[in-house]
Amino acid sequence: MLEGEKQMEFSEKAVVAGTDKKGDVRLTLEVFPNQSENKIVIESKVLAKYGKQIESVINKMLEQYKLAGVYLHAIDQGAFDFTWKARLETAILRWQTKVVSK
Amino acid sequence: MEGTFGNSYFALANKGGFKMNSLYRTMFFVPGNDPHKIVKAEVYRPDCIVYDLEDAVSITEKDSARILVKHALEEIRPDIRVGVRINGIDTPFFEEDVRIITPLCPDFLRLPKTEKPEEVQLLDKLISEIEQKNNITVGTIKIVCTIETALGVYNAYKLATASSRVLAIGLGAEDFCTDMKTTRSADCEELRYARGKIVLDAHAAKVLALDFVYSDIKNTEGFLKNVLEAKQLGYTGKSVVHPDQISVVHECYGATAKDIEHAKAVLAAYDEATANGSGVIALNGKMIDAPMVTRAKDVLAYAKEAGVTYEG
Repeated sequence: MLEGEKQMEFSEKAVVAGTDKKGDVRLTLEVFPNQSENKIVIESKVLAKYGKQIESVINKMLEQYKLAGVYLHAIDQGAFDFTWKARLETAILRWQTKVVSK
Repeated sequence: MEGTFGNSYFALANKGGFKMNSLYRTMFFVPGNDPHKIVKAEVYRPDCIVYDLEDAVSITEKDSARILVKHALEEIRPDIRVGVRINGIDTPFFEEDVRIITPLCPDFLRLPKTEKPEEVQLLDKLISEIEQKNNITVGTIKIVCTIETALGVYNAYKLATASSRVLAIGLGAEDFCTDMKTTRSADCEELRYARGKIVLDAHAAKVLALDFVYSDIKNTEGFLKNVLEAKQLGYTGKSVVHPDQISVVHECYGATAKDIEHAKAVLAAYDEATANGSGVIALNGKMIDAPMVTRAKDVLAYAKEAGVTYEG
């Protein structure tokens, strides 16, 4: 997980889920199947306190969907775990719909 | 004997074996795609929260809201009854809403724009299939029908009796007015017939009657009048969209100290007359008949469910 780095390069295949509203998290996600490592950038005021927890939620969700080569940029507005899981699942399913199914 | 909202009312509300109070005074709508509002809703202590996947969610975010509500039910389910307003049968979102949400065992699914009994039966069948697959006792999850068209109002009794899952019926005023080629007015004159028919049909079918949303949030005087009118007509609860509306409805539907004292006096007089074998019962010079005794029992049962303590 990378902190502080706010620039990530995404192609037009990237998908977005979530909003910038209080209690939410906005994710931009793209998967590069030919890469094995994930690149994750999180912007959050609570990263120092909850960073490990957030990282664990992200990793479990990526494992559940058996994904690697994931580029993920998250802008967190104080989202609870259930919101992180929901937005991750939405982003992954949107990416599958947009890219994998075509 | 069954009263206006008494024994039959509690039996109905307890059909699902709820662990909370068995009142449905308020159904508080919360946008299904807003995590902050989902987390906060419980704090206002409505009798029931409805996560809305329909009108409160834009067409591009239907998937996102459905998944958010799924995770909310899994992880932060409140200690209040919860329902989910799914998208209508005529939309591409209906079946997926039911398939994703039902395994989480909400207390009910609220079906919008219900017009024909076949629609209720179709939803019933789909829920049954999912309950069976997920080892949920068939019949656990109830249905609340929102009636939003002239045809729906015309068929209200048929909708209420279309399935044993139907817990309540209620009017969706905005869409109903559109269907009737009219507009909302301050005194709700355009809703008079539909409001009266739905409450009558609900009681005839022994289901709960839920009054419509009052959307002029800042008009507190108008809201209070609207709630009192509904209660007087026989409605058992109201759909609400703002936290400030919850306490107003609870207060209107709650039994007052005067109501409770009167109910206790009626029952005491009844018990005394029964013990003495007296055929005529009176309290303060007024005859007490069977419906009055039923209403007195209802008042005390209702007060107890609402958490009002009283002696005797």
